[in-house]
Amino acid sequence: MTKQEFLNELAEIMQLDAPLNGDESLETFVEWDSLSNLGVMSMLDLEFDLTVTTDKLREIKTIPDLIALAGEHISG
Amino acid sequence: MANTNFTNVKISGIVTVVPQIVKLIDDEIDLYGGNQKQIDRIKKSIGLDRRHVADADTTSVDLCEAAARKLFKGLGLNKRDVDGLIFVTQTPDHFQPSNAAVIHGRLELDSSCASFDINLGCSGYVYGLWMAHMMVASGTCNKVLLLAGDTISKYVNPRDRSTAPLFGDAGSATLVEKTEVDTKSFFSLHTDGSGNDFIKVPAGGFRCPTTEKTTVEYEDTEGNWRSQNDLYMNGGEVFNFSIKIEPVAINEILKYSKKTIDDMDYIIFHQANKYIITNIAKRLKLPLDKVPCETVGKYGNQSSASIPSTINDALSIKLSTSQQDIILSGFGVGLSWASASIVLDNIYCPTVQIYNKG
Repeated sequence: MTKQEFLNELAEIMQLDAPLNGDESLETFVEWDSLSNLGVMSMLDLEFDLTVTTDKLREIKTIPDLIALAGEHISG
Repeated sequence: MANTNFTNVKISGIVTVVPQIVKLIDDEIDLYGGNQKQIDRIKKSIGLDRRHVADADTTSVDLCEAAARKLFKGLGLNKRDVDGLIFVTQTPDHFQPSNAAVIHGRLELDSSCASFDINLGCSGYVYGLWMAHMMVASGTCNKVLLLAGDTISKYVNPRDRSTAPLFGDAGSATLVEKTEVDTKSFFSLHTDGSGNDFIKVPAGGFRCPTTEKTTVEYEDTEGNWRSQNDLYMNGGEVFNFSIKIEPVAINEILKYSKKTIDDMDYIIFHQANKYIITNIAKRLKLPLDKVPCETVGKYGNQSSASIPSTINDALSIKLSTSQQDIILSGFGVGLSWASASIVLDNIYCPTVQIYNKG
């Protein structure tokens, strides 16, 4: 998955009106809540076979952090 | 491995009754700090909208009694012929006696009727069906009345967003009986007790009796309020559990019954919420028209009654007029999960009934 595809997926999970550019702080979004967390957990598991706990995800503060969590699975 | 199959046992009818009071998530905007956008997101992705909840003096016994009476009438069943009664619930009228005994008395069933409760939640309907099939197949009983009902809405703290808008109440009645027709039903049952903390009412039993202290409400890190007497659910962990084990469970029951997804007309999951069901369906590549998932938006998560409720809500006409191959799968508190591959053939299956308090 490319970085752009990942950002598109994330924007859809959070049901944002505007696209993400990739360097945002997640904490600035009211949409970054437990609902979005579940969506991201599901995407990471489904797309990358990556299991992330709720506690681990709660530590994530920015989109670059989230991309780093997915690591090698995201290119470009 | 807890897998088994039965022959010459059939399900003849299923009835579900829900209480009259309807609550709407739209009316609970204060729970979301006045944020309508968040409510819209929850409605869209989790599928929450309306739910039917019981009033203070209506219990799972009342709802299941109404369902049982409707079932007896619909099938033209002589209640003296019922020789087995199972009540699946985690919200009984009392610790003692069992709900089964209470309703046995109310329905004036025969004294030669084996009656007991099963303490299970979202997996409980399938466990109850398995037990009912076993009672018939063993020759113990000819006609088993399976009641599954809960009033989980009474267990939630109204200031807890992780549970309050989710749970609805319902009671169901199913008749399982002996048949000369060469039927075949398959079951697989599972438990993972290491997850027993994920869905829990901490106080009120003998480990932690109700005291003044257990009624004190506290705020958790998510800003939700509850006391030790209220239902706690770790939504994230339950979600992870569900999307991991359910695809495996469905593949297991298919393999065991030597069937494929294409052979099945419907796969009916416990209606945890729409998001979990569509997520599981996606992982299994199930066509969504085989997977009813609108029950939560109409009635709420009905715990042990969610599978029969979905059958009555979505398949009433189909099952009243034809034969359908169906997989049932329940998963939740325990953690516990169970699946069945069954055939429902022209059964008594009215739409979901509204409780008439009378």
